[in-house]
Amino acid sequence: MASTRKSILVVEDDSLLRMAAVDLVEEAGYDVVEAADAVQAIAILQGDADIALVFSDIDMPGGMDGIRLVAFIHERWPRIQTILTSGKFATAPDSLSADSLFFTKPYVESKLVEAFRKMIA
Amino acid sequence: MKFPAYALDAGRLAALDGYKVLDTAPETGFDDIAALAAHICETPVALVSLVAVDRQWFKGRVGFDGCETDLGSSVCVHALVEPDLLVIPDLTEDPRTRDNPLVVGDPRIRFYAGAPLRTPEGHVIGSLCAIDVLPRPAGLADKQADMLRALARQVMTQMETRRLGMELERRMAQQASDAALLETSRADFRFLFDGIDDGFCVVEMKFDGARPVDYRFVEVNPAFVHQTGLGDAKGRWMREIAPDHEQHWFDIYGKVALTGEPVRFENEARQLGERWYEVHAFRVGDPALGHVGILFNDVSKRKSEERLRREIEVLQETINREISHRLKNSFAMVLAIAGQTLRTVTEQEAVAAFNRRIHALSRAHDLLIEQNWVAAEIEGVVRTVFDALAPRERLDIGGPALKLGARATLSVSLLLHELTANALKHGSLSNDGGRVSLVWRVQDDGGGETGLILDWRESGGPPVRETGRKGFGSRLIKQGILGTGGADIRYESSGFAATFNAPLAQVQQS
Repeated sequence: MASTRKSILVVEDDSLLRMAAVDLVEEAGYDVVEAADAVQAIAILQGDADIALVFSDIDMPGGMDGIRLVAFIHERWPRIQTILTSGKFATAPDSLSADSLFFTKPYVESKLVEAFRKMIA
Repeated sequence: MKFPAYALDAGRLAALDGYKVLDTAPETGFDDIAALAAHICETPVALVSLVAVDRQWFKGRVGFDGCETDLGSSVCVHALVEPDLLVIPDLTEDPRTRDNPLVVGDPRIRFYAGAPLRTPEGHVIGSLCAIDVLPRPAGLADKQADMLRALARQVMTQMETRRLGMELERRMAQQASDAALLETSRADFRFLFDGIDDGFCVVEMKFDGARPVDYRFVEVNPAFVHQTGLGDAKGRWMREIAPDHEQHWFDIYGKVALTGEPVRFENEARQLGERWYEVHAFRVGDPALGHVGILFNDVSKRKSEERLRREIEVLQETINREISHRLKNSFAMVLAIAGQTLRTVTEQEAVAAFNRRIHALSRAHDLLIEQNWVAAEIEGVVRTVFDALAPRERLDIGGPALKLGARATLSVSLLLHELTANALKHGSLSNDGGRVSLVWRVQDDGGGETGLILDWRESGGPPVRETGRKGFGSRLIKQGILGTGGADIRYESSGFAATFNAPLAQVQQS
């Protein structure tokens, strides 16, 4: 049973927002892994083959933002789905890959869960 | 009456016209010649007759009243085509003249002897003629004929002298007027040159092959010093004054000197104190001199104002983006805290309503950010709120284009959010077929003030009745736009309806 569950990696530098996102993912019925920045996220992805989707903030410290993170993921692990979020943009920034979904902050939780279901059915 | 075609020859008429003599005042010289001709030929009448296009006109005369006759009365017109003298001993016997009015009627002339007036170019412009009222079968004696020819040449000499005199006068007048004009334009130019606020200078370009390497100031006006900060520039080379003066200045002026094409441009001169100039440069004088006229203006102030304005705009936008970014992160934070705090609350419906209201507020901020926090178009506000909650095709909207101020954007967003949420819960959006119509207009409120009217009307939903609830949503609706209280709420048989109005001035205030 546990092996059929899909994992989602939440990447968010703000701990409170990360906590809320983690709760959301769990309540939606997925396994959840969390990271506070892009470097941590990549370390986790290298060691865990079961992650199906990465849900990441765009604006993060540490020299690599969410846009560059998903670009890296698409190249390295093309099968992993990606969703980005940011309060900086009302709509998806131009530099974002067309393969990623974008939600402006604050995101509507039900819409996000809907996107999870579609992308990792 | 026929006369020779040569009378109307364009070259002949032009030659006559060139003497500018027709209809001029009598001159003794010509009358004297006429008198001599009459005396020598022993006739009562002699004329210096010029044959024009429609008449003969007498520049000198003796024994004849009137200074002209028409060509029909002219005998001289026949003299035009004679190689030498025209002598007609009895005019009544010559086919050319027997019907002439002056022959048939008074003064009944009978004898005619005329010598052609021939120009140096060979045109005959008239004749010097001697006329008698008695026929003279023997004509002129040889000596008389010789003298008549000589007098005719004398007429032409006087005509030429007269023409040269006129030409001389004309040229002198022209020269005087040219000189006056030149003096005036010199004075005007000097006045302009000295008086304008624009800097003006004439420079002489120096080339190394085709490459412009330097220029020397030939002429500078008084404003030049103020405009450039360079005193005593006249006669000096630019490279000597400002060794680091940008090459583009030399290139531009060099091109003007070589091509003669004037240019207008703006550019910076760092070594002249980081000044910006607006310049009009054009070639002056002989192209071989390589002189360029430069009219210019220091526009540093305008340039720096423009730069400052651009910087402020960029800064303002950056600040706006940063503020909105933080604001939206704060909304996200509020939702996260609420989510954590209210996790165990049993009234999860209230928690969801709270979440939705915060989202509505956040989306209203998105609209304002796009407009730099100035104003948002009402249709965009309506669509954004509605689309977030319900299918777009169930809303009918209509109204004029209208900008809402920042506060009204937030207020109208929250108001429409509550109306839409209620319609989804109890009203026309709670079933599959109901619809909502939202219409707005601007109208006079009757008291001389213009108001925004917003009309929400539901139809096709289940029957509605007042719930009597005193929740936050109902109170927000009752308060209307910007809390002005202009709200008329009705539970009609067709469905829920509400009309809001607020002063337009308040609604558009940012």
